[in-house]
Amino acid sequence: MIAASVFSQSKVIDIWNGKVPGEIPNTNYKEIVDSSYWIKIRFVTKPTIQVYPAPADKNTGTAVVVCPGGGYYGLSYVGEGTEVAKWLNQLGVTAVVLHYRLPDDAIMQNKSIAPLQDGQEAMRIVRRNATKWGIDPHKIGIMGFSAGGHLASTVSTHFDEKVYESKDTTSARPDFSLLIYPVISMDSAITHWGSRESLLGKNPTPEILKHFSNALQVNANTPPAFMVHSMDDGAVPVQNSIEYALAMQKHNIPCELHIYERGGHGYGLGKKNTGTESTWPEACRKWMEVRGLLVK
Amino acid sequence: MMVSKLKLTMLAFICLMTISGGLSAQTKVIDLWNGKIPGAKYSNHFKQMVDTAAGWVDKHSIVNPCLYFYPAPVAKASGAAVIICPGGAYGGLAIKHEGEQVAKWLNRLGVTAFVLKYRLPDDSIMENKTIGPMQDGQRAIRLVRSHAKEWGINPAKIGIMGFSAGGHLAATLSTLYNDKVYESDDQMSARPDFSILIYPVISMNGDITHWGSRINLLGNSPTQEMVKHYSNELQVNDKTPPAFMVHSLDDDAVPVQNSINYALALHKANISCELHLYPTGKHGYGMGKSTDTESSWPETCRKWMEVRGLLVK
Repeated sequence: MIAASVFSQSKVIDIWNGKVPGEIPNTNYKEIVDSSYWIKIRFVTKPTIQVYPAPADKNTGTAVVVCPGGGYYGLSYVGEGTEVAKWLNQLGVTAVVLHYRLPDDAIMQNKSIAPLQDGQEAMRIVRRNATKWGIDPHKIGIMGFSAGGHLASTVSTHFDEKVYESKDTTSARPDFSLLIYPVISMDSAITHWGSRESLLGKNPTPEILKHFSNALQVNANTPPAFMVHSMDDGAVPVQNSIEYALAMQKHNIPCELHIYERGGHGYGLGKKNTGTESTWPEACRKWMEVRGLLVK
Repeated sequence: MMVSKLKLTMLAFICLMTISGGLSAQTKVIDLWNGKIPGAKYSNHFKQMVDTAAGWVDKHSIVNPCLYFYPAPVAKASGAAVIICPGGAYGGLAIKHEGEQVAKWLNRLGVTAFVLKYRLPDDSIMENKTIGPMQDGQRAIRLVRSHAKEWGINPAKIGIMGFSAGGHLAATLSTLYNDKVYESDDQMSARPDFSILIYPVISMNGDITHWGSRINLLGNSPTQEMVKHYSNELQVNDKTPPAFMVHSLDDDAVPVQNSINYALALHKANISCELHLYPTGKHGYGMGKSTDTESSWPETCRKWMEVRGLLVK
């Protein structure tokens, strides 16, 4: 009962307060919920964060910015958004679901950096408001599913890249990342082509491909990661997660990777699944607990 | 006086029989070869010695390889069985924390366990030391399978499990089960139905192998052919049994690439494989002794066995 009422107290914050960086105004462009094939938000023009505070009686002070997946084409905002927020709240974690802009030349001067702009500013907003929202500014993580995992890993490896004029020096660096069946690489051998084309267009230079292949961008400052992938993922090859984990190992950054035998792709919290992949939320909870993220 | 002395003696005798009978009922010892060890040579540096309290078995005390039998409690027995190969770099055996403790855990899940005390490679007692452990492993699987009915085991649910170099043995038994390494008088298959590999050595490739294990198994100058043959990631095919694997990313004894390469080889051959990589633990943690996440691997393994139908009849 209490959880339900607190959940309904979620608030929506316009990330840019009307001043979206690199925006090309276009009044014909409207956000829609597209239910064909799967339910997703498309044509995001005004990116927002929806804050779901942890219940006061179990607040751990930890917050996670959640990036739904959707191939950089749409936002799978229920299974990889609101459902995940509910689960995080149950653990005493504040969830911040990011409705990021999906790359589109029609409304963006540089579409490839739009999601990163939104991701960085989301991290900064949460950190700026940490005290006010009962959050420890050193316990703000980023989470992403599929293409949202690409965004989360991009924020994790490009947190100090100047992609817009920030109003202050608040750090955009996540303290940890949770990457669920993530796209990591833009390398043609292993990338998810839909996400790559949506983000980088049809003819990205080798330089751009490398820049957005996050396993190549890991360094000593990259936050620790918890990762999940299914061996039989036919959409995003498991090599994406393996490459990132090995890059993390090379730089001595703690990384945990669970490769489940089945599950395919896109199963969110896995509540409808009976295979081993359905146990990932418990493995994630344990990882967070061991890292001290589930106590004040 | 004479009668009571006799009674005392008989009482003592009965007690002894009960105690030893009780011990045997818990850890029955099954000799693998009944004296006829293939390719065996005699060496006076090797003497069969059993010290049930010791956690480490020196290779010189293993002359007669055997299985320690830990039957699952009858009430919860699922019919599945696992043969456990302890690690020890092919130079000895960590028989308690990568053997007995594992067997007891499996019993709690309703799985019958066997701890394989395999011979460690040595030119003084083996004509071909490279195949010594494999001979013992194949023989163990055939033995268990041929006694399956008698021991309440489903012959299609016999798995192999290994830690570290024992993981190399388990993986070798999973890929080279058709290698004829001894004259077998039976046609029983030596193929495991599934494998559980914990921080395993998989490869003999110089870039990623565990050198101690490689030198012990293959000697100082193996041919390229031998190195390839015993690099299990190169021997996977569409008949290789499914695997559950665990490795720590901070393992500085056995590089994580061993597990990754095997998992990807299975994936390429469309064989089911699950791989859990933990940030901590390094190497040799057996069932898990810490409060860190690698110590949760047994529960993850239990779930995998459950999903594969190994924990119910």
